[in-house]
Amino acid sequence: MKTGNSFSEDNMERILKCSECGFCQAVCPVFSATLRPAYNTRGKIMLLKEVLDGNIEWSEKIGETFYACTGCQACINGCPSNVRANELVQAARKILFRDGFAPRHLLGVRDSVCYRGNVFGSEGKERVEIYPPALREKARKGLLKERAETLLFMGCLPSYMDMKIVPAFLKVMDAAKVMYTTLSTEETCCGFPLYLMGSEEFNSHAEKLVERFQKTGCRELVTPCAGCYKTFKTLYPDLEDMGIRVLHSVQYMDELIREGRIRFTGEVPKRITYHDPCDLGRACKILEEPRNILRSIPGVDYVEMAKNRLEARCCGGGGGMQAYNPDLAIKMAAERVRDAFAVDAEILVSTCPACKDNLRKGMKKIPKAERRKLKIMDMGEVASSAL
Amino acid sequence: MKKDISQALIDIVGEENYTDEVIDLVSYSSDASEHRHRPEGAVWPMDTDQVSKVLKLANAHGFPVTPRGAGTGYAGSAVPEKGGIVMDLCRMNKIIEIRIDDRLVKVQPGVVYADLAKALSPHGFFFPPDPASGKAATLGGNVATNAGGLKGAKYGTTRDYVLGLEVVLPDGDILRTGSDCMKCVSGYDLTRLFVGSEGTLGVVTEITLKINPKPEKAAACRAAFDTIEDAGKAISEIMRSGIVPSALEILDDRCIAALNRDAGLGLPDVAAMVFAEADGHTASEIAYQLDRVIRVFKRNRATAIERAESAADLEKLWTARKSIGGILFRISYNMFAEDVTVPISRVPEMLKGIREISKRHDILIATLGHLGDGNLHPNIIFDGRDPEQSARAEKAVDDLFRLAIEKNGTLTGEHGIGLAKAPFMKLEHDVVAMGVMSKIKKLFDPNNILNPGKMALEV
Repeated sequence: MKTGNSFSEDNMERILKCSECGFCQAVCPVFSATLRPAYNTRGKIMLLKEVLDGNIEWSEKIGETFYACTGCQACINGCPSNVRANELVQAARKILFRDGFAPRHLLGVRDSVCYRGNVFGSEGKERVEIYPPALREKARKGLLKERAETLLFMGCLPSYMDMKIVPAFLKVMDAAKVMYTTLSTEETCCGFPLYLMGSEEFNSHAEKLVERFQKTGCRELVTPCAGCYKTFKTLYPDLEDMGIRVLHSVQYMDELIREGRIRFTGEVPKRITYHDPCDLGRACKILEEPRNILRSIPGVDYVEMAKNRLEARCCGGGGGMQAYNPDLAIKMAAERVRDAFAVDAEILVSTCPACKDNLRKGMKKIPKAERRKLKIMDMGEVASSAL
Repeated sequence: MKKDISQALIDIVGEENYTDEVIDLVSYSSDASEHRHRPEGAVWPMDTDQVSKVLKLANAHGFPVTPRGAGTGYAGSAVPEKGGIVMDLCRMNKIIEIRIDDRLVKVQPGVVYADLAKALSPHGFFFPPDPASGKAATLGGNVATNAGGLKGAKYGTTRDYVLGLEVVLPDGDILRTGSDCMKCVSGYDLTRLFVGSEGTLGVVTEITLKINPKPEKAAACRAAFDTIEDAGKAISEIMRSGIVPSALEILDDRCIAALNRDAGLGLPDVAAMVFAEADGHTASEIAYQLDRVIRVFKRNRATAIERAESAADLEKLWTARKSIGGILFRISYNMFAEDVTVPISRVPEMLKGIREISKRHDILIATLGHLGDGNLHPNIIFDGRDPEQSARAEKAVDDLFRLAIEKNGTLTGEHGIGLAKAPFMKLEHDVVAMGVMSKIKKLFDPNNILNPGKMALEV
């Protein structure tokens, strides 16, 4: 095998360790939605072997299979040989991006993140439009606290696309009297999309954002986005070393409840199920906190979907899939919504704005005759409605 | 792929169900075996009619068709050795009907074993032959390889459950075999001819399977033995005792060492561990069986006997056995996963012989096995990057097959012949048997388009 293709020794070892048993086919959401083994993890690794052996050249065409991955890590969870396939997919994407074989339509997202600071190409000043009126006014006038113990990081989707996540998140923080600040109009994308497409620009992007974090003097960074959380926690330079604790809002809320700083006085008399976002569940093993929160809300009839926690079915929206192949992402989401139908849930709760967005699209894709009444909500929305 | 052929295939299955893209050709170039050969194209038929039309086309133009399920086989049966097209049946994945009153199900070949298990579970029924790859493997593949699994001793293999088949023959004709009846002796047993034929005679497009009521309870125990001989004696005694365990498994010292090192299971450092499971409908019925098994263990100098009755304990006890496949693969980079089978009474001498082969060729062989049916899994572990080591591994395989035949055994208990064991067919089958098999192949597939190169059928 040639090794001149910037594949590290660790990754070469991972490729060799794959026994091609095909067990990943049982859990790969992309295979399940396409029934095309080339898109399954084994197909990707077989292709890598051929490329690294010099039998096939890197190309845009073969790049197709490496970008057809939601990064859900279900294959790792089910792999008898313990192959960390996500590292291999990432290494392949880096080469594809470097050599100009990344899907062209992803380059637009790259430009948006690099030049506009968000995935939508919107203006930075629009970020605060979603803040509650008083905070919005302060933010517009640049009057938000420059320094604070707690920095809230909203994420692109909640800032620009979702009408409910940010207000609900802030309502909970205010109820607990958390002294926080935000990066306001200076918040930018965490850079995860750059990382996922294989762009080295991720590193410099991260450095800039870390500087902004440090300027606020914050000791804790809290975000309601699973993707941002995973990025800060696992892909950034060690923020904990810089004295900044990184928390997903569900971890933070769980702590607030246990400390008695928030109390649910209202009822949510609904049958609720929880969807583990891959970036939070399998990737970061945050499994119980969201369940604790839901169980502590009066009236909630909590029900588990058949595939949950480490075995949770991916909604299809991760790994850049929503940008790369939205139709496929939505097809996968519909399957996850069906899982919620199967347990007669009335509310499907997620802790990832991308999951929420994709699951809602998946719901719409299900034929009317089959569709049931199901609300898809962020954890913050449910929690804030019970305050 | 010639342009006119690919166009003709697209006309049959539609553009979305045909491919000649390199990503697909690579993914179809192998299965779980070490064999590899790329096809020139692949189709995903959606129904029997499409299968029939594709085979007719292939028969007319003489290009090979290799049927494929999930590609989890260890023998290279799904590797398109002679090129042509792969026919991936994963999109024909409907459970057609579940008829509890008739104790049968009808499924398309692409249904995954685990999905059928899930669908049967609410009815309290199951399809017993559960290959270790059952999460991913398809029932079409199970039929094509006559798959077995852990429960063979009590429940038999796939063949014992196939009541009937719909098969498309190479000329496109659609053959229906068997019946929906539990008993049927009407004409030749064509069903059994196709079960285990590895896609060399026809393409199975519908399967009628007998199902069993699922025993509500199970309990298991395991024991350690200081010598392989003691373990072997215990097993023979269990098989004589009148008890039929639902599983009876062995792990040798190499497996135990690998499990302790890679999974930190803390198993005793002994020559062999034996696992036994009993299932049934009442706790007392199971306790009676396990008591007898444990008495036999003790009589044969077993130590560290552990018993598991709750579902959680059962799961824990079986963890060692179930995680072994992947863990063995972590030892080195390549593995020949063999499945030689011998008459039950000859298991101890076979285990001893395997040890000698390992020594003779200085190659690591870790053996586990389903002892209730004499089915052993000697796994020959090596680093394929080292040609000298690879050659020794090949020699060990050669000796292993010779030993199994010497012991009145067979080359394969459940993986099939495929490419891996084709060169050894004549070891087990004499000129007469090989001649009959070749004639059968010629009768069904005179142009040799279906899965050519397998099972040493070409003379």
